[in-house]
Amino acid sequence: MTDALTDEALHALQGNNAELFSAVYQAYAGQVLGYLTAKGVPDPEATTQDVFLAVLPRLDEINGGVNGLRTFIFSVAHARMVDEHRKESRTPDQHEFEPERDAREASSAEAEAMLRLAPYEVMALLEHLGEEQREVLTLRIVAGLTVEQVAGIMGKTAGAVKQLQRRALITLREHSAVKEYVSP
Amino acid sequence: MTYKDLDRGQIVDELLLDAGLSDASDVRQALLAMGQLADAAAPAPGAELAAMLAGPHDEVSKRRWRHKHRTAVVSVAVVAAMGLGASGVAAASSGFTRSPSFEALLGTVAPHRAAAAPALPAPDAPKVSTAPAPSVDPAAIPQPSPVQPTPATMIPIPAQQQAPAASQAVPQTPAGTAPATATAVVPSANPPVPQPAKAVPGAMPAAPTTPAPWLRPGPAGPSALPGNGLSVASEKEALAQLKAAEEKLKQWKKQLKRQDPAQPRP
Repeated sequence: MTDALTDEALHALQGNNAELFSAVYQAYAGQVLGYLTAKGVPDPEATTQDVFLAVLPRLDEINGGVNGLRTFIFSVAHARMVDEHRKESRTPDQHEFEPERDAREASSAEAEAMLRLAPYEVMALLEHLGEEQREVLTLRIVAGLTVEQVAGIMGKTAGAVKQLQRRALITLREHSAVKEYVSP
Repeated sequence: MTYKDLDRGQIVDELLLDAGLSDASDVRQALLAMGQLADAAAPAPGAELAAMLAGPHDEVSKRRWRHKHRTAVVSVAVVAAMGLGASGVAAASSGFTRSPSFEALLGTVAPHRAAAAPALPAPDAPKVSTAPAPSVDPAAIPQPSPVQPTPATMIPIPAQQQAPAASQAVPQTPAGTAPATATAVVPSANPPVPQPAKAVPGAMPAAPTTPAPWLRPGPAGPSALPGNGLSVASEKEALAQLKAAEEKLKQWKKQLKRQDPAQPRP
């Protein structure tokens, strides 16, 4: 999905809720889904929809253009993810993520080639990280947020976020899984 | 098709730089692969979300719009209603209060006015005189010629007001013979009743001139009026009534003035 949503486009769509909702959904739903998948949420698609059901009616209240919108969407996604994990911990019967049953496909050939390995390998990669390290990396890379935005969402200082992401990278590098993944 | 691949590359590079791992290409690959997760297609919206994307949120936005603009809508409606009401009241009052109240005012005065009629240099007199001309009052016949000049001379009214009145009154006399002037005078006694009603609503300055001549000839009039056979007492009575009528007229004009500024508002 293209992230065609610019500040200008967002402004132009103001007041035209039908198109605004669609544009926002098309622009961010994939990323939210990726984020929730990376965070191991049991039903990422359903949670993605929940996220947008919460976000879309409140688009009017959002300030800060596309950046503000992105932060807001992933704040909601983060909160939903936390909720889902709490729910999961209360009902431990949930199935694990099974990549074989993951029918999602990306559209470009390159992305497809990457994702053929990615879903479970990336997930396996992330398994080696601590919860917060994983959160920082997904928010930074999948959600595409800045250090400050991530800090805002996680309720930490920018310094703490930088520290977390640095440790996460070091962990990844040290872990054998990385080498297995990168040189199959 | 990806969300700004360049951005992801930048983010990853930035991350690596921060961590002091800018040379770790294996980690870079892993992180880029992680970024691929963001390329997932937007899941097909479920029933609830699809409804929000298409239908019901229109209702929501409508409601929101209405909520936002409620004050504006209501104030427009209120202003429109007030405008209608004010103009309606103004129209109704001008239609009802002017003629009937004035006729009522002068109704009591009219009989006495018939006596004082000769003094009436009413601007509309020539017009009116043409229609009721046949109803000749023989009693008035001898009067007109001496009386007609009197208003001009006797009425102590400012010259500008007097001048048109006299000029209108004078042409009447030369226009016809004695009976002709008589006919002109006698009907003119009654016409003044509706006539001020016409003059007052139109122009304010006209109002004071019309009742004034009726009053002033009164005290000045005895020289002319005895011919009509009116006693001095009844004359004074008529004067008192006229003054009362004038008072009422003034009050009524004040009301009119008060209403006038309200009229252009809508």
